[in-house]
Order: sequence, then C-alpha cells, then structure tokens
Amino acid sequence: MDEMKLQDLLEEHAQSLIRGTLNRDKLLAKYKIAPDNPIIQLLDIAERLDATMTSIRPSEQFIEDLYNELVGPSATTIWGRWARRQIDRLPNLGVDVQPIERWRQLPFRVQLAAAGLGGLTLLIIAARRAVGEEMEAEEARDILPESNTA
Amino acid sequence: MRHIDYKSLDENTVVELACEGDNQAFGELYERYVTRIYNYFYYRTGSNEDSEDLTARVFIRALKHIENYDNRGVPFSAWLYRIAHNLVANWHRDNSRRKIIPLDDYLVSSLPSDAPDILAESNEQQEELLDAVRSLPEDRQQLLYLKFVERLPNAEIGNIMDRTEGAVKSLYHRTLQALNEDLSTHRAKKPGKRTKR
Repeated sequence: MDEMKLQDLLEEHAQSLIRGTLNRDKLLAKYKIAPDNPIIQLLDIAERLDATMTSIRPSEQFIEDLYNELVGPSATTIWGRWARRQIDRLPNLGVDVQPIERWRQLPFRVQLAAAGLGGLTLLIIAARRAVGEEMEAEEARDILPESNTA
Repeated sequence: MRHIDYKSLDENTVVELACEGDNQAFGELYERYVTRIYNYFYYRTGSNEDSEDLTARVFIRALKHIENYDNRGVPFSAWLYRIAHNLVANWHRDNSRRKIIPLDDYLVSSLPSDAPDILAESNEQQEELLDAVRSLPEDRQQLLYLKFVERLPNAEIGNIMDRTEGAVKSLYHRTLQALNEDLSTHRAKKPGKRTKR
C-alpha cells in the first residue's frame, strides 16, 4: 500500500473513531487490508488512544478562583449564575438594566464597600425612624391619659 | 452601557469585545477555553497541580496581551494554544523529572467496579500508552491531544500547529508508527507483562 493511501486509511479510521461510527471490517475491506497486515497494529494503537485520551474537567474551585482572579467576582457561582439569569430576563420585562450592569462592572472591593455603606445608611435611617416613633408615642402617652380620664 | 448576553455571541465578536478591554468578554472566552487548556497541560505534564498552574499562566498572559491579538490572523484558539505551547516547552525544559498521570482519578469511574483484575490490567496498559505518548516529540504530543481529546478536524489542527492538512495527516501516520515501535520495544523488555487487549 502506498504512503498516501495508508495515510487516507488512518485518517478515515481516526475520524470514524472520533464520530463513534467505526466499522473496522468494512474499513479494512474498503482498503483491501488482510487481517495479518502490520497496519492493523497502528489501528489498534489509534483505538487505544481514543479510549485513553478523554477530556478531564478541572475542579470547579480552580475554575472559579481563576475566573475571579482574571475578571473579578464570579458569575460562575450558583448564586452568580442565578443572578445572571434574572438580570438577563429583565430587558424582556421592560426594565432598564443599565444601573445593574454598571454595578456588575465595578471591582469587587468597591461593590463590597458600597454595599456596606448602603447597609449602614439603611441602619441609620431605620434607627432614626425608630427613635422618632418612640418619641411620638411618648408624646401621645402624655396626652392620652388626660383625655381618657376626662 | 449596553446589556450583552456574551454566551449567545459568536467567538469573533467576543474576541473583539475582549480586545477592546471588555473584562466580561474575556471571562466568556475563559469559560469557553479553560477546560481545553487544562486538558492540554494535563496530558503533557501528567500533574493536576502543574496543569492548574500552567492554565492560570496562559490566561493571565492572554489577558495581558489580548489588545495586541490580531483577529484577522490566526484564530483565537490557535493564539491561546501557542501561548500554552511556549509555556509547556519551558516547563519541560525546567522539569527534567518525569511524572506519572494519576490514572485512578479518571479511569476508575469508567470501568466496571466488580472487575479489579481487568481494571488493574487496563490501568497498566493505559499508563504504558500515556507514558509512550509523553516521550514523543512536542509536536506529536500536541497532534494526539488535538485529535483525540479535542477531537478537532485536521484543518483546525493545521491552523493551530501552523501546518497544512496534508502535513498533519503525514505527522499522524509517523506518530502512530513511533508509538508502535516504542510500545513493541517496551513489551520486548518486559516479557512477563500482560499485553492482552
């Protein structure tokens, strides 16, 4: 068998392996290869390579850590993916996602600081409101007993 | 700022956005390629730790230089693999020691649990084969990785390796021959070893 034809055979064999459609007998018949032909050894090796060299997924932790290092806070966490899906749906509901997108572009530290500041502001507002309500209640108590006894 | 669904974009568009400094676009490219690049290193180094380290270096380097990437030249995947190729070449130069792939990590699950003798034999054979693959020259290892792990067509392999399709076919033939010779020599040296397939 000449060199070019042999290369064609090996290539066709590899492609059918990759596609999962290998019919070895049919292929050997097509190229008129006897079962004791030394070329068979090369086909055996290709089939072993196909069975052995499988894709391996790196750990999720590694993928996420590196993502964070490269891009910032991850959209690959479960929470991040959920949030991403919700944001993706918003334009269909007529919601302007500009502020959310701006927020997502901020560095993680800025997001954290801003969230902390926002939380503190809300806490102060809530505390002031609580104090205000308490003072109003006290004023009301000062008035009510007299009106009740009257 | 507009809302972009990066996942739905074709690769060229994502690459263009990443070249313009869009970090989220680079993140999308990272998600599309991280497993492939990790695998590339895993089959070359046989070490999870080294593969993670080298994968991180590829993407850090890519992020640093992506603004210099020319979209009209080589495909993005080829550009990324060339960075990986340079890094693994340096790794081989710096590490004279050979490492063994922890086969149990991924082979055990694919074999019947009630056949320990078959498992041991299969693992031994696969280890022998991967050892032979790792002793091949760089370009041949790369070809086998791209063909059997990535399952890429010869045209794309040619793009990545900067060769014609014909040259890829010829290299594949020579690679199988070299592996056959190596494995035969190995078997001849170990007559007691089981080689049943």
